[in-house]
Amino acid sequence: MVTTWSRLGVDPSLRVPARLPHLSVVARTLCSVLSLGMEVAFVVDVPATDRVATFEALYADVEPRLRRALVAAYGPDAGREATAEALAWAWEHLERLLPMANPAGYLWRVGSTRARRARGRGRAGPWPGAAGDRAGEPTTPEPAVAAALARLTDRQRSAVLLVHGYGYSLPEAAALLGCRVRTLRTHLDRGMAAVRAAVGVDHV
Amino acid sequence: MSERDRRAEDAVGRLADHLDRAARPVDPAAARSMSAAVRRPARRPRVVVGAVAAALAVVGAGLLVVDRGEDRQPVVAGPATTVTTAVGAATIGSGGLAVSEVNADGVALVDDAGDVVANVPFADDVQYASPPAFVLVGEDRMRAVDADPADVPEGCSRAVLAGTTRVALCGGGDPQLPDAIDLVDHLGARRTVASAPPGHVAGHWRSVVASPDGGHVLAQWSGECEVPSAWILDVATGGLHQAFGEGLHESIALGWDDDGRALVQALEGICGEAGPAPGVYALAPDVDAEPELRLATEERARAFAWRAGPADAPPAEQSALTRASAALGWEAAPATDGAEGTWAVGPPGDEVAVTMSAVTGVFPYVPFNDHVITAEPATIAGGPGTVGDQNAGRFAAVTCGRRVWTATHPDSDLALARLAALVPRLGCALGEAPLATGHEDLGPEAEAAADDLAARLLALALDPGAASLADIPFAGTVMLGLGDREPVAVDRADLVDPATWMLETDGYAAREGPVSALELLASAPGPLDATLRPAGCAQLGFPIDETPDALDGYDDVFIQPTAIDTCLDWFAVTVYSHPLSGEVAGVVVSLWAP
Repeated sequence: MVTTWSRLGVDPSLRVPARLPHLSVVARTLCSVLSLGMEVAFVVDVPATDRVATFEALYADVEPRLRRALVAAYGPDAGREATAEALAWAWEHLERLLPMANPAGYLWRVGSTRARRARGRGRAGPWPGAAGDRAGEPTTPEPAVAAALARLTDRQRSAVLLVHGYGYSLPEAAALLGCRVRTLRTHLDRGMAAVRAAVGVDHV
Repeated sequence: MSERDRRAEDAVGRLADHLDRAARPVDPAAARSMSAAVRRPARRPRVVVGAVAAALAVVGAGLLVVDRGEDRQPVVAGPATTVTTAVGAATIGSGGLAVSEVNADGVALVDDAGDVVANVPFADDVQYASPPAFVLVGEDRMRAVDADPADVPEGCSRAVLAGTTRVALCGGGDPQLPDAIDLVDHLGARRTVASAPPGHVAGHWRSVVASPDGGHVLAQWSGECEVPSAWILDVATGGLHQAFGEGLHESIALGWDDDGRALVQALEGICGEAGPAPGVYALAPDVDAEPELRLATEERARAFAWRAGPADAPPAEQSALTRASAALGWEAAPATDGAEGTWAVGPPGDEVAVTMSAVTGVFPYVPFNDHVITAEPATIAGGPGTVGDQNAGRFAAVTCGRRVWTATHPDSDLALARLAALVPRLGCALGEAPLATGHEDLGPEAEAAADDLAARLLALALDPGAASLADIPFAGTVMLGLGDREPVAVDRADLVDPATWMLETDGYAAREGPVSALELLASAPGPLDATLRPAGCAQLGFPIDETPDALDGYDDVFIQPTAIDTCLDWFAVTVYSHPLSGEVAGVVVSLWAP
């Protein structure tokens, strides 16, 4: 027997993102039900007149953490470029993105794919451990830590910078990186162990 | 927090502030304005020049030929012999070419007999300098040439076996950016026979494919600004010459034909340089060989080549997927072998892992929801399909019977080519009605099996004891879990004691106190509903926690109450069993989280 949300007595409105006030109740309900497992297949119509405003609202909501996460993973230049490409993708696929429960996490994956593709084509190198040490730019304040972070995996580095650098909560960072809190905590533990070693201390 | 931890966190904080200053916010207007460029990348200047050259080729191909001299005028050959496979709609040549033409309508993948293998209704960015996609296809066998068995020497990125000699791409200081071609004999002696091609300073070698007789290799050079050019190396003499002769033109090394001729795709001239008309050519490995035009193409087409492989048939008892995967040179992960579940495969020596899966799902929904970034409808091998991006690369997917088959690769066209080559081996017809989620679609046997297992577990819940325990095929060690928390392992014999089943909620789903799968089942109001879900689709349509890592890959029977008044009373007991042996390896409780 096919089981659906309605059979479970779940209130679909519980899953509707609060940032979609312009959607009708029907559309909000559909958003909730269909976003369970078919985010990529669901599309809502956004009037052309509202499109820019809707995008601006989405931008304000996701840009800072999206950029920080991608910069943490791929460095200032490649990360910022990936952010721009992810937001460009968001603008073009706004109708598909809006119903999603976690658009920032989705865009992180878009940007991450773009960044890895660029890395594969040789346009972007590994994470720059001495970011900003070019002429005319401020010197990296923590070269030893930056070098240690450069040796981490993208996920470990992102976890460390998002949580301990920018102060995001574990659930916030996990949602952004599309992983479970438990997984994030593992990345964090391993990443911070490397950072502690870099600053010359051992964790007790 | 200790002082030492605080120092580490402060250091990370200062670095984060620095990164914030180094990467300023993206202007939203700029992001909107660049969206078209992301979707359909603007052509690089050299491509525009090439397009002009290609347009000239269309209007007056003879002019370009004259520029190259009469002795190098391409000879147009007839189409290669093709065979129509017994199963499926695709027509695959016993040797031939597949060309994806990028045009205003999208990408079409056609074989050299003119049959369309796949249609994709959008044009994505084309990476000219990717390794050759040389897929061998025969009556009973196919394999990927890029899965070469030769060992890769230290400091090198890729190697092939040419006779008894290994030809490796090495040097450059970075194994991923080799700038030399080395020969390694059977005793391990190594010598460099080529560095950067004549006239090239920047760039690296990307791929190398040995000729059928091992006398030559076809190598792909990626020059400055990622301009690709194909080169042929004489293994015996170390002589190196460019396909189509000297000159600045783009060419892609595809592989070798059965007759020992190199297959090279000509793209366009560079900076007004004359070159052959866009198309795929067969070239004898000699320096002055006359190119034979095998297929004229658009200037931005991508081409793939295949030829018949060895005739040693795989074991008859293997599944269709196992046969196809083995024939493609892909390794099947043992975890789900025989169940046609999820395969994680990676050709030895390939730079990028290739994955391929067969799972039950709802089409066009692709079963990698966590990873799918874009998904577009497409026609693949005559049936409805999907192509798009996912975290691991790009994918193509079709439904075949009640399964969704996908092939992934960083390049959409190659994913399409691999899937199209595989379609005739799937043992079913494309476009059959896909499954909806639920055990009705799995047939009455699956429904009965799910109900039977649920009934046995309910019997154990109502009357715990050795007899009711023996009725359930528990494994020696069983994982008992709560949500997506790490399950605990208990011995089978201990399951007879209801206390063993007690798990502390400790805040899970905003609950406190112990919970037990047996107690939940025994106290459920009204009948229970049991649904069998094969491995790989455990997430489809059900608002439950993720499968614990320890039980990933197992089939599960999902048991839940049908007569509850409020969602707060909802629960699910998921019973995980091995897809082949049927042994129950885990029982996980899920509760509704307010």
